[in-house]
Amino acid sequence: MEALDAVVLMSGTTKPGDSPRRLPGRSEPSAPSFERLPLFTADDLLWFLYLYPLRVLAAFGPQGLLYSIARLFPFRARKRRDMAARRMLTGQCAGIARARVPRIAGNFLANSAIRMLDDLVLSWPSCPKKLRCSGIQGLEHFDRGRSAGKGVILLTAHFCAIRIAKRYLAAVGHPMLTVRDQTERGDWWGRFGRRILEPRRMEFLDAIMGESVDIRDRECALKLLRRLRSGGVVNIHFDGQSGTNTAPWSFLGAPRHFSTGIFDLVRMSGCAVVPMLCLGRSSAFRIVFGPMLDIVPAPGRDEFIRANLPAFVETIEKQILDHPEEWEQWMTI
Amino acid sequence: MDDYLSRTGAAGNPNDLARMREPPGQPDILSRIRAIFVESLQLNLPEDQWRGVTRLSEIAGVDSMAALAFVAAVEKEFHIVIEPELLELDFIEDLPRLSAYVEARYKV
Repeated sequence: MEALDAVVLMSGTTKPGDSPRRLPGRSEPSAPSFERLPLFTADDLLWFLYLYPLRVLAAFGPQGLLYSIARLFPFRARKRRDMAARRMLTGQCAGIARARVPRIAGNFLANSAIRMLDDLVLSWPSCPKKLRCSGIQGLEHFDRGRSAGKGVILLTAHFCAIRIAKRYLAAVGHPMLTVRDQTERGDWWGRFGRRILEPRRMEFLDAIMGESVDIRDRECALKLLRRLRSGGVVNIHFDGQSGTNTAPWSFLGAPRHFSTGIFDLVRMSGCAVVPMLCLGRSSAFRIVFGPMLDIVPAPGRDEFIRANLPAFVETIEKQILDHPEEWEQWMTI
Repeated sequence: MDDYLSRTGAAGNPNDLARMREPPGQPDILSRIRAIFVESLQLNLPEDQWRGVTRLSEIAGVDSMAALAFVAAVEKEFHIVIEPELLELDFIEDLPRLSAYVEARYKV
């Protein structure tokens, strides 16, 4: 159940007949032959419960009842919490005091569970009625970005409430195109899961993602540029896994490679870049737009990246350090 | 077939073959666009491998970021901005169409 949005934009060329490039640093799921899979796994069962009974409950039951299920998750996920705490400590994340880590890791796990349940809410057409936005701050920054008519990139990190916030914004007249990684990671399935549940899960994700473009789509970058040049809005998670065109920079105290596709889009469209932070859950969430980033012009592509990458990283890093318990990526950092 | 061979020469020089495939119109811009593609993506291919092609896929497979890099290079070379509705791979890969479009815009 990993977050599927990603910043990654695949890059490069292939000779005719070559298979598509793999992204560095991303291990492709091993795919044992169907016959060698077990008939049914524990994950199959959990996914079945999630995609059927829980999804029905999300549509017809009270949200309070749904969220009470989230309290069960810390019991099952103690190992994950400990792992997240270790990542927070070993990541040399300046700004997170050691004493705060256990509490943050516990809240991180609870928020991850709530995010999964919020996904269930989003999967129903009636979901906009169930979304309760407690406030939007900094809307003037977003409006200012749009007023230039060159499109807006909403710069985000993987926060738990991002999907509900995007759905809410679309419902109130701010639709956006999201970059999404639809790479199937189905190595946990048994035969039942792979044959029955996996297609259902993809339908489910399609329903909750809204308007999106797959990073594997050969037209991905062109679609994003088209949207921006039409004055539209694009959402990019800048903390996604890196593509083949990357630039290194320090992130949360450790070196990390960032996809540079976003900088090509900014250069070619002249769009505004507005940071967006989404916090909370579907029954009470808030959206915070930050001031437009000052884009530093530069004559060449590499100079442009060098001039602007630090501000992009700093922006999402601050969001994460201010709200570490709501950032989803601790397990993958 | 005999006529084809007589025009291409007995040795069947690949460069001559490539020239034969050159579609009518905008040969200069078409050639420049092909060269831009090869240069912008640093393909390091000899000219005889891409002279005369009419689709980018005949030179190399183009993925998302390669397409963007190519569009950026074409726009920079010809000082144009391609309209949003034309930012489709089918159009970008079709070199005669792209060439005709660039020529029309470039003259303005």
